[in-house]
This record gives sequence, structure tokens and C-alpha cells, in this order.
Amino acid sequence: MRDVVVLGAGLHRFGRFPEKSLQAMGREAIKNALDDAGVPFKDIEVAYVGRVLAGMGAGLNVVSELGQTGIPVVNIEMACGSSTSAFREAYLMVANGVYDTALVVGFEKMQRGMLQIAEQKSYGTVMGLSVMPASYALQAQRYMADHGATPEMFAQVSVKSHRNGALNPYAQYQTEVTIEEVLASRTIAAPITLLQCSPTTDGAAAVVICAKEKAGKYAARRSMTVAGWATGSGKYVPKSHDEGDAEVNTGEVTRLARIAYERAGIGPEDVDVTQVHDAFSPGEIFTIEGLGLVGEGEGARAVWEGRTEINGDIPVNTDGGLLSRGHPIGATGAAMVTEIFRQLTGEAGPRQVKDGNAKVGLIQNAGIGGVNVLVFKR
Amino acid sequence: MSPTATSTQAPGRLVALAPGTFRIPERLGLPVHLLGARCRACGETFFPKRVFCANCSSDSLEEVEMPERGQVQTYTVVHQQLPGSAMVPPYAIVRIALPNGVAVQTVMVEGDLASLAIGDVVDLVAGRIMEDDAGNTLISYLARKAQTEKDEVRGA
Repeated sequence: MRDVVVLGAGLHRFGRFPEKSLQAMGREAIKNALDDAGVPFKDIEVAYVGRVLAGMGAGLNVVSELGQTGIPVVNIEMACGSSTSAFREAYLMVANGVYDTALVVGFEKMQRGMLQIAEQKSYGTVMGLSVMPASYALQAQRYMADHGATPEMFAQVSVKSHRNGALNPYAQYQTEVTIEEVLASRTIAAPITLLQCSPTTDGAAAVVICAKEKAGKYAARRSMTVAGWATGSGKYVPKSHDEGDAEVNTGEVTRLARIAYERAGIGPEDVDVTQVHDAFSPGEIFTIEGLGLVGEGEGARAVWEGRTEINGDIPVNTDGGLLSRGHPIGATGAAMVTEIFRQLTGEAGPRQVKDGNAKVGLIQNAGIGGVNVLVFKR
Repeated sequence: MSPTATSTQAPGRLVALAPGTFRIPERLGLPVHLLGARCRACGETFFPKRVFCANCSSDSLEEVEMPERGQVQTYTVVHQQLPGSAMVPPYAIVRIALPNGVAVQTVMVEGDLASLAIGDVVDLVAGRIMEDDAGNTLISYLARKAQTEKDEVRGA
């Protein structure tokens, strides 16, 4: 496989834009990414589009805004992980020589209110079980009992992410919150309060990738290389091999991170900056453990001690993450790639980690249907 | 408010909200044995039933009854109304570890949510969820704290 680089990335601000069409939002993100990469749209050979809630053919409706060049437009759906799935497919096509230059797009416009993850008349809905924050809360309750973590430690994830969001002009929420405000917001599923839930969001993100051997003609000022990847869905653990209660935390992230690290030839100790799927505050804590950035049971304390802050030793969700940047489900993964690109190219401004010397970036993006892990190197 | 395992009203015909997940008991509040599947090829047990084994993909599975009693592995109290749900907050979702290794997620019957704790012993009992258009009482399996000595004996 050939080396593949990210040449540019762009966003449409995340937030609520009821007056704005998907086409207009997607067009802006794609234009920003193309300009950032210095790649004209006519050179794009294929577009992979992560989207969930929009209707049939939404990918083409958006991408063709930039021109009708006859390229294939591939719609990809893996719920909240859709646009890292789109990124992976585009990457593999370029790495394997099918295309030289590809566009990855993610976009979404969402209703207000709790995301409906099951059909209206399904068993899970009628029984009140298909409650997304409850699945995180169930893990969080067990985690607190097993590791002595406190509700304040989960709340601190949101305090940190809002602080980072306040430094990000593309974030949905750009105001800081105190831990008292987070804890005092109404409980959704204990211990998770409202300010520990990602919002519903409108937004778009785009990334331009290219075969490294073909990238020279674009005189890109800078780039980052796709160094490793892993993807998969839940793997059945036979009960005879189960350690019983220890299985409360998800094992998929750990399994996939090992594959991604091996492909990238690195270990978790080499990672300089990370983006994780914090749809709800416990997500950051569980995932930094799953990725091996901290030991099992150490995640909550690591957050509490500030290790995941921008100036910490394992900065996480420097752009505000899902909690503050926002979570337009189809666009989230491409926005994660965008932030890692800014960090590894030293263009993250007030959010910049490690004095601009970050060399390795890591992404974990989960959706109903699986988990994507991506590793990038400057 | 959480659902009740018994009803003061004379119920209509009892019908499972999710047909085939358990045998319909004579009345509300009685323990239910969930109906799962056991793989004849590798011995793994599942609830809900599967046609193909998740472990070995065999399609040779037989129906088996689950134990009625288990332990709370974890729980959360939900305070937000899910649109379309019959459950009115606050109610507790519990994940129950059954002695055969199967984990079941369901809702606690009405009771003291504050005293709910990991490790609590609970029984799966038939509870009313809602009425359907034909006047039937739709029921499902709910978790109820094992309370009395009688419960202990029955569970043994």
C-alpha cells in the first residue's frame, strides 16, 4: 500500500442553523478544505460522504454543489462514526492505487431533543431502554463502584471540553462552565447531567487526501500521513472465557487500538494528541483507558488531575470534543480529523498542544455499528 | 413513575410486549423464566433467542429457560422522558447478571430507587407495561428486589 497524506481540512461552524441548507453548509466545508489543501475540485477523483439523517442521495446533492465532474459519490453510514468510516474507505482506495486524490465529507442537520436510536414502536423504546445516555450511565455507575471515581470526575470532562470549546471559533459552545454548573444541570441518567451530554448539532466537515507520491504538485505547505487504522464491530466473547463483571467496559476500543498501533509502528506512549468519542462525559474516561493512554481504572483520575487538558501530558479533545464542539453525527469523524490536522501541522492557535511539536495524533470515533481508530503522523 | 408489577385494575388478557420472550404467567407479579437459546454445537447460551449462534454461527439452537433470579451488575436512574416510551421518569434501568452467564437489561418495578445498589439480588417478574387497542394488557419482564424468605426459597 502507498503512503497517503491529508493535504487540507475545513469545517462549517457547528451549531444550530435552521435557516441554512445542507448544501450550503457542506459547500462551505468542502470549499474550505479544498482551499486549505490547495487542490482544485476538478482534481478530486472520488468523494466519500458520511451522513445519517439526510434523505436518499444526500452525498451527491452536497458534493455536486462544487461542480458536476462525473465522479463517484459514495454515501457511508455508521451512525456517529460515519465520517471516519468514509475517511477509512477513501484512504484504502488511495492507498491501494485506485484513486490518487479523494474528498471526505461529513455533514448533518439534527432535530432538537434526545436522539432516537430505536424505532418509535420498538421494544427498546416502549420499555424506555433505548436511551443513549443510559448506556454510558450504566457503565459509569459500575466504574464508580469498581474504581472509586466520583460524579465530579465525570463532570470535570465537561468543564475541560467547554474550556477548549471556548478557544475554537467553529465550536457550538464557546463558553466555559464551572463544575458546579455541570453538576447542578438536570440529571438525564444518573450520574450524567445535561451538561455532560453532547448536543444535537448542524455542521459539516471535509478533508482532502492524496497519495503521498502525487502530492508534490500541490505544493502543500504541510501535510500529515495516515499511519495506522483499525475498524470493527462488536466481537462476541464466549461466556466460558468471560471474566464476569469485568466486561462492563467495552473491549472493542482496546482490541482495535492494538491493531492501529501495530500498523503505525507506535505504542500509546508515542501519542501526542487524541480525539475521542465523548458523546457523554464518561466516554473520554473509558476511551483513554481503552486506548492504553492510561491504565485501567486510571481514566477518571487522569481527567481530574488535568492530564487531558491542552497543556496536559495526554491532551484529549482539544477542540471541545463532541460535548462542546458539537456532535452533528455524520460530520463528527471528519471534524476529529480536522482538529488532529491542525494540531500536527502546528496551526491550532490557542489550542495548540506541545508547543507545536506534536508528531503523532490519534482518533477514536464510535458509532452504532462499530468503532474506528486512526493514527496520523506529521 | 416506574411500572407496577401488580395492578389494582382487573387486567385484560395478558400479552407479551415482545412475543416469545417468556411464557405468559397466570397473573401479574409472578416470576417469569425468560426463554433463550442454547447452541447445541458450542454450548453458548443467549437471551434474547438467536437463529445463528453469535459464537460459532451454528444454526442448531434449542430453547432454554433462563434463571428467574440474578444480581444487579449496574444500574442507572433515568430522569428524561424518552418519546414513545411507556416509562415515565424517574425509573431505573438495571443490567442483571444471571447465574448462567447471560446479562439481561430491563426496568425495575416501582419501588425505592434510592436504595438500589450494585449486587442487589433481583427477580424477573411479569409487569404491566400498557394496554393495547384491543384492551389486552401488554406485559414484560421487570426486575424486582428479592424481598421475602419465600422469595429466597422459591429462587433456590
